[in-house]
Amino acid sequence: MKVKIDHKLDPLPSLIEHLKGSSDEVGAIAIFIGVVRGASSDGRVLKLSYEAHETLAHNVLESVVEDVKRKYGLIDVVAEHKLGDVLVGEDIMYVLVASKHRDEAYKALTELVDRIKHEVPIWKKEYTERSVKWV
Amino acid sequence: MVQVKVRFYASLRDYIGVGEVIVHLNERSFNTFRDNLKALLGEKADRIFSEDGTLRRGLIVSINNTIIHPSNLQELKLCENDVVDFMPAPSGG
Repeated sequence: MKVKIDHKLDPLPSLIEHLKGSSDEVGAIAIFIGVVRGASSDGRVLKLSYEAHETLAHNVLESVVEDVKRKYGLIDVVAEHKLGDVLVGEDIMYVLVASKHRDEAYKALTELVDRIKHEVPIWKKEYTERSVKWV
Repeated sequence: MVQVKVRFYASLRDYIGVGEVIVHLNERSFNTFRDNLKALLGEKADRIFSEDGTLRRGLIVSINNTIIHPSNLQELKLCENDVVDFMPAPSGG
């Protein structure tokens, strides 16, 4: 298991290799990549800026990942979330799950991404051409 | 007299206008803490506490980096140099 909340994400290929190397039982890897969308209800997006309660965010992320890993019997999980400014088109978050079969990988990935968004104390401020606001 | 550090995050910090305040307590209960914090913040405390004194829905509170469920706040006894964090609902991703 690998969790990270930082100003820099690890290269995605290295995370995939990490999971492939975690066990020879890995038969499926499902990946979610969160990306900054260029349009919002407030016009063209310039950037998103992320902040966190870093200690709590790391602890909660670790706990959520452990929970979902146990629930679906996953082999391994990687979850990384970026902090600071992220420009349109850039990656915000990587969540990768490795399992024996694809079914549990799909289900676990959906649940994990939802829980990270709703439970981990990270917040984003949206900068558009018309406004700056917490969203 | 007990001294407690209170920190605010993200939209809550921007609304209140400061990232942290120090609250002094002559009694360690959460109710005393809440009342003293409300006195310090004035009407801006309304973003944290409802009229009945309960934590506003969706907010997260932690003490010394441990999240406290709102239903357990009344039982708390604060200690010297405790750090209480108030956070809005997460919006990551």
